[in-house]
Amino acid sequence: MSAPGSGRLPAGFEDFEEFLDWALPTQVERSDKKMRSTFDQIQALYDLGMRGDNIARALRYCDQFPLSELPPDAAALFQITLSMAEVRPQVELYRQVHSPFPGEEVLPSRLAPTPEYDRL
Amino acid sequence: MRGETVTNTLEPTRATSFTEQQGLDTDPIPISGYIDPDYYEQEIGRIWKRVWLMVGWAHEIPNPGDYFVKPLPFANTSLIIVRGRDGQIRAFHNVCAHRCAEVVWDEKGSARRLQCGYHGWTYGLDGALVAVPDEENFFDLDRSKYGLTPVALETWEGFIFINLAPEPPQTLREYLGDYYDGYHGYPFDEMTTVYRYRGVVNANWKVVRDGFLETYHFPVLHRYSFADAFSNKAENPHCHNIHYGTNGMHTIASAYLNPEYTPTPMELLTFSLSQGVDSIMVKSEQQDLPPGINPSRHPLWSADNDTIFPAANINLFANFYLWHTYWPLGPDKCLLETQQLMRPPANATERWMHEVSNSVFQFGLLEDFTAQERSQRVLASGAKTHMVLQDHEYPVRHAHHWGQQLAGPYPEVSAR
Repeated sequence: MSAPGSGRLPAGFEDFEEFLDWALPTQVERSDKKMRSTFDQIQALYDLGMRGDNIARALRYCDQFPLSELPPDAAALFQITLSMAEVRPQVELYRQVHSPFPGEEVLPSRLAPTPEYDRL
Repeated sequence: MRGETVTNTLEPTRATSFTEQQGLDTDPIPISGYIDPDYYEQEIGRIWKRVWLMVGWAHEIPNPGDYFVKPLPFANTSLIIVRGRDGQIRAFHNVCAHRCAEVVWDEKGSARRLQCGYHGWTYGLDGALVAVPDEENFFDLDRSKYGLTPVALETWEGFIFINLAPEPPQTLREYLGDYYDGYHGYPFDEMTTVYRYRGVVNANWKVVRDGFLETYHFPVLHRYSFADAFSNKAENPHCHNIHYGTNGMHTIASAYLNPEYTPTPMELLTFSLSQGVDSIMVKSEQQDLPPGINPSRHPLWSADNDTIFPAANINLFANFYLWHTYWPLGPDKCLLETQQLMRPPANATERWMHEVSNSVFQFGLLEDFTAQERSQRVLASGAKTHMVLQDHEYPVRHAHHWGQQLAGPYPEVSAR
């Protein structure tokens, strides 16, 4: 039983609706959201991606379209999958949102992608 | 010379020291070169303004009129790198001949002519001054004397190198030595997607560089991120490289691949999506690599970490590569510019796999930031005057050796 969708994501991806606020177009925005989230929040996003074949299924859906011409609902879905990749180091390696090293935080913005990054 | 290369076993003994085989001493190295402001200026003049420096890729400016601007604050300049109507790429100081303003103000673009944003002096793509507003009120202006000032530029395998010396002491071929032909055949021309990151590190450029030249720190600093792929608790606990070599001022190191590495769940997913194509886990024997890459043809090869003295190092994997440059910004500050280059993603799936790789790459480098800044903060404490290097830090020692050959010996310092 899936809830009726908002129309912002393609049909069949109702599970992803809960994470629509992760549909962010740039790496900097995805990274900022990650660093402002709790570990439970990024773990929940990651878990949804790794449940069944969710990521592969979402990517297969997006692969119907040329990458530069994703319709808005597919683009939002794709951006959520990119956020799932974004949280990987923290979920799989660090097991926490912030750096596991003591002392001051070294924020991702200190080594930021240049603007052309998100046009790729 | 490739002939000088040394293949070590994973359990080297002092008897097989490649540091000594390469003719270097094994003494502690003064740390004054990391902190002395006068020495920094010496390095800028004697090294950075005389060597070939890689500033970008030819594929970033594919068409006539395409240009990008490369600020080089250590030399108090900024360069325009522009492709002319004849297809040639040229470099000019981005300095107008009129009142010496920067001509081009944006980071990149495409133009038929280059017009100064201040008073509108206009230059052709070949640097010639072609138009001056209100020209009749200048005094016998001879336009042919007021073109843009050219900078030496050569390309190699699609990389754009410049040299700030009015007459470079070496050609690019001479400078790159064995790399020049030895890399030929690596698919640089296919890997045109550039994921570029920039960040200011509060550390001397050599502190940052040295962090890129050894894997001794991997099992400790990168214990959460990279270490497991490049070390093995039984066979290679200290993350030794599997091969070292010397190419003039540059060094070659081949990194080990842990055959028992356990991929994370999301890595396994990328392998299933790609059949392993964009992974470091691709075995070298499956690849048709040119002789200059994995030169020892070691079966447990993951990547080469080759330096291009003094400014850069390149990490060549079978299916992608990284290029790191540490641009000096002062004695205790540098700009790290780092790029992952991959084949353009054909679809969303491939773009997503790149993002999985990029996310870990970014955090691994942030780990390096942490340690490098924690070094710089205490280097001038006076507590220590020298650093001690082991055999597997050979590329670090070699880089300091050549730095001092060019810029002079590090200043003497006395203990506190």
